[in-house]
Amino acid sequence: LPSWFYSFSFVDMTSKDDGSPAASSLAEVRAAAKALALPFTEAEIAKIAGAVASLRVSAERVRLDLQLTQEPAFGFRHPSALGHKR
Amino acid sequence: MTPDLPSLTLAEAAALIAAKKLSPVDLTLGYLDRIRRYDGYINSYLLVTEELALQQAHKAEREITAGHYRGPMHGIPYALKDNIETAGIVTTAHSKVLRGNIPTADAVVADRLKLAGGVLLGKLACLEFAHASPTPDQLWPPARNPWKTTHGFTGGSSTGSAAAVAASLALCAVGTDTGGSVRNPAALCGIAGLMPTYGRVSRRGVIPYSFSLDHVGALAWTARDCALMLQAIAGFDAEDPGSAEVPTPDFAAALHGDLKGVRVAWVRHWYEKDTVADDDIRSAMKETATTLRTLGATIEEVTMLPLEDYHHCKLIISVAEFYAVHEVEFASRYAEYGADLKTKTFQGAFVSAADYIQAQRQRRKLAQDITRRLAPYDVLLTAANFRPAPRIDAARDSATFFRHPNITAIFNVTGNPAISVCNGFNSGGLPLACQIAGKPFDETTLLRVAHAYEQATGWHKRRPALAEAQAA
Repeated sequence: LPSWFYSFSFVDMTSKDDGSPAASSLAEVRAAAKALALPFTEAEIAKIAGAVASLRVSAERVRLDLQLTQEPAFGFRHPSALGHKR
Repeated sequence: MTPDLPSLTLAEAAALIAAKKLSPVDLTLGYLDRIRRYDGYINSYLLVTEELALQQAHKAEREITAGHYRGPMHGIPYALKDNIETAGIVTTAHSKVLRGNIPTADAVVADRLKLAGGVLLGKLACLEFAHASPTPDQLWPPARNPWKTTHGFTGGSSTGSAAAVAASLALCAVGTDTGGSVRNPAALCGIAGLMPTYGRVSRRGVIPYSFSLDHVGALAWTARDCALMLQAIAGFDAEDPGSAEVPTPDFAAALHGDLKGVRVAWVRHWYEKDTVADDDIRSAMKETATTLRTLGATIEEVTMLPLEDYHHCKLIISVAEFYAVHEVEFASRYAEYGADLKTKTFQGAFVSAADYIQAQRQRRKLAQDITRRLAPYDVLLTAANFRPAPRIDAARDSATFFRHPNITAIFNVTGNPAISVCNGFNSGGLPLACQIAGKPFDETTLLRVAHAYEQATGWHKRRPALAEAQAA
């Protein structure tokens, strides 16, 4: 990909150095697409699997330094506390 | 008398209208004429609401003539990104999925602009559901960058909003920003793009991308114009759970004078080390810091957390929330989603609940961290992107996205307000931009800094030639 591609949102996201997604992700995406009857092509499944593998990297990273005693970042607030009318 | 529209700013038009020296009807007719002449090359509008615009312009003119001037948006021709609902007007979010969707109510931001007396010129192109790259299977072609109409991309996702303003097909436009979707296209199109603090402007009636990251923002030629727009659209909305019950200050009141006493945290490593921006951008950023120092500001280089920390957090949250929004329709109306959006949407099905919650927990830490590091300063200065506008035909292969961070999403994660303003042009004539971020609910200070910078440099006065369109 050209270098400008990394300047904003539209970027490649593959899981391994050779650019191929992990086999486990491929199988998982293929099975999920089949279960939902979504007619993805194999090329599309490979793209999604690459993205999923990278999402897993991100999911690991967001867990860094989180402590058991830290409160969650958000919680339920009753709609009446927000002044909801509906 | 109708002034030269390309050189006109919102603030200038508002002053002329208030003084009864400019007719809102003449102004509206002028923009409608420009849309007819040029938008075939820019593709910024999905729908031009000509009849409504003329009705609203006549009404504004009658009111102003009768002495009932509502404020700076009164009689101002503007346009809305097409993911903002408008009562009785088709709202598609640039997607076949919402073809023929006619909302019964205005989004809060549309309603506020209507109350302010604005003149709605139409609905603007965007990336499909503010998320997908342009693909040939979409109903409309992508908006083109007025600085290079032959092939220049506008960035995303408020593509039409930035292109329409930069081509002077509207005085200003409203966009939405989930990872930079106001600031990035504004930067690539040489205009100003303001993302207010999370909670400052209601998102009710805006088709969501990512509930907890979405902001409504303003695109116009200058920081002052953005301030005037923000004045009209800001305010608490009890029906938007993210809305903040905070006072709305006079955003334009401080837009004067120099920057004596203003402390600027200059964050260079995000675009010099974490991701290395083009030479032109790094050079323009140095000149920007020098200009701010000349204006009296104190500039200190500051180290923040690495760009990637924000990126991972934003990615998990946005992908998961987008899938949650689309889960039902995606399964039942798969064929109507664009090719790029199909693959982007389905990624979200693989984010677990725990992943999402951990990302939101991490997000709180990131917001606390930036608050602590920014405490000794008034604003933060950094780049708005890493490259100038890319070729539109190269912005296609995006089935997977976000492996590498962008420099705008930081403030979607933390909720801080940020503005991108033009800080030069590269040798190819494409705009460059810096980004100025502020403390939560202190848009006033960042607007003051951006305004002073614009006055000192004058980059905001340059206009694209629209050469290809004019030659046709």
